[in-house]
Amino acid sequence: MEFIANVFQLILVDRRQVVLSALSEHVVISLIAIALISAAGIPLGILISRYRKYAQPVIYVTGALYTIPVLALFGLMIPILGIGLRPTLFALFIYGLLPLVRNTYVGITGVDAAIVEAARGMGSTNRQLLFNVELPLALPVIVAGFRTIVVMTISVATIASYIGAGGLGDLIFRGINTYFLELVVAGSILVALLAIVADGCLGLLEKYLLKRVR
Amino acid sequence: MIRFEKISKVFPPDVNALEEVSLDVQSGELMCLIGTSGCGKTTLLKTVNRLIEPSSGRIFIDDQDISRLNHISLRRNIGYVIQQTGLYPHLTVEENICYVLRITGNKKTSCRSRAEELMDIIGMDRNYLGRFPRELSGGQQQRVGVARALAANPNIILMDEPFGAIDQITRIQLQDELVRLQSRLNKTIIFVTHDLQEAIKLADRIALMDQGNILQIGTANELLFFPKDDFVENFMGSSSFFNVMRLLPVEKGLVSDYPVFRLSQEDAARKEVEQKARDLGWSEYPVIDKEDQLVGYFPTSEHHNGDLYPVNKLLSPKITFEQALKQLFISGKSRLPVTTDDKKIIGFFDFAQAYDIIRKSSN
Ligand SMILES: Nc1ncnc2c1ncn2[C@@H]1O[C@H](COP(=O)(O)OP(=O)(O)O)[C@@H](O)[C@H]1O
Ligand SMILES: [Mg+2]
Repeated sequence: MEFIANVFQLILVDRRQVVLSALSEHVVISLIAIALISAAGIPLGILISRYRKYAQPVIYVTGALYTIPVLALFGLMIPILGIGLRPTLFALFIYGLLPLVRNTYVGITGVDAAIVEAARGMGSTNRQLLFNVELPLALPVIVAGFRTIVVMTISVATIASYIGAGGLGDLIFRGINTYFLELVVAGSILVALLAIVADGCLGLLEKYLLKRVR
Repeated sequence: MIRFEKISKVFPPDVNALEEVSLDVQSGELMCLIGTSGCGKTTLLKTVNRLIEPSSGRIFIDDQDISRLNHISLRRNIGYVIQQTGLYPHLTVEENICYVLRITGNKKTSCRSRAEELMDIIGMDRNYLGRFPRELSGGQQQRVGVARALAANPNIILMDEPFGAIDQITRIQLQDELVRLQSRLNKTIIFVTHDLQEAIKLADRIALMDQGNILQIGTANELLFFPKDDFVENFMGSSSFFNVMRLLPVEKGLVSDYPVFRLSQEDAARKEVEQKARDLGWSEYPVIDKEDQLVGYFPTSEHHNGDLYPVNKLLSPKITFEQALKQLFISGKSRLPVTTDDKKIIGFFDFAQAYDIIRKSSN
């Protein structure tokens, strides 16, 4: 009991400044990574839904990237990109790509063929078909993928403190190095909280969108 | 008018879905494509809006080769209704109906009034405009599908088994509505179905397909009485006459050139009418007032006191031959007038001549 009280004391009072700046750093890193992943992943998913013969290879490659262990990736990247924000974003980007590309692709190709047929038959251009019909109907599946990458990015970003990215990982590693258990727990709780809140909000959005397209 | 010229379609590697199919569909005609599943009906239909490009052959709409037209604008000028409705689940009824209008850049307000107009045409309450497709029954969804196809006021409408997935009672209702709609709008419609009853009820002409070929094109009567081969005969049913009786709307086999006397006419005219009735072997002839409404009959016999014989039984044009026949027997007459709701004569249902009429129309 006392331990938990100490942890909150730490977060809310003693190390408030440090905790806050680590938290905001974490959020910023995650947001940038998510933005990069989205900017590449969604268009790539759309692209392979248009040129389906490239779909399998692309998903295969992003899938292979996805399976590289985090630490191994960091190890590989340090000689090339050094340490800091750049390699961190790159790593997060590589991990987040697969879920979003795959869900965008699956979402679009999973749209009821009769609806696509009707839209074509009525004279939609490719662009109109995509923006008026396919993307709105694929949105719940895309959001589900987005939800995956958001949670994943928030948690992987913690480890990225290892290569000097900052964020809540800093609290945890500093705690470990100085045998300061309260700090470790404080960092962990905040990461978990961040992930849970983000996941919950996106879950609600997904549910709402699903109801719309049935 | 739509002209198919030797349309073939081979799906890789070697499915011959269509084999040199030729067909003319006249303007304002409702042409049914009928045949068993997989015979190529849908494929033929989709060559018209170029969702499928023929492997060979050409299609002309009003003498324009459609392969030379821009396929997007071609499609926007052709209504398209499919069995699964293909309504957009994320759009309201109004947005669904207005889809073509919106993608062609029409203002929202003008779309709204068109949508309201269409709801009236398909007989749905305007309150439904704000609903989503999932909130409608199957029959209502299909009505909206039809409204959506009509939105841009196309001359041609393609319908692929539109009522195929709908329960029997609603289906018959929708068929009746389509007949009513068509008599008012006069579109050129190609209607795919595998339901013979539906084809006979709706079609001006029927094209019977099998294995990528059209075996016979003609009116329901022609296919029923003069099947070109055994396949057609079997498909249409062996006891043709009774099939017609059961399926054909009575208005498709009426005596339309009948003697009729208008109350305001001269006596000389009456003599003429009387003679015409006698020639036909009728013992009485109908009399109408100046509003064209049937008021009674005069007998053809020389001596009668000038009293009108009363009108007993009227037939609705919507009933089938079979039902008309039943009414005929119950009334004990040789013929009965078929009239509109306000008693205007459309024609006479005459048992002795019904058979002749059917056969005559077959030549
Ligand atoms: N996209 C396609 N690829 C390959 N074969 C097809 C395709 N579409 C239709 N077919 C084949 O062409 C034939 C005719 O199909 P279709 O026109 O859909 O028949 P119907 O509408 O009369 O049931 C069938 O044998 C069907 O399997
Ligand atoms: Mg079909």
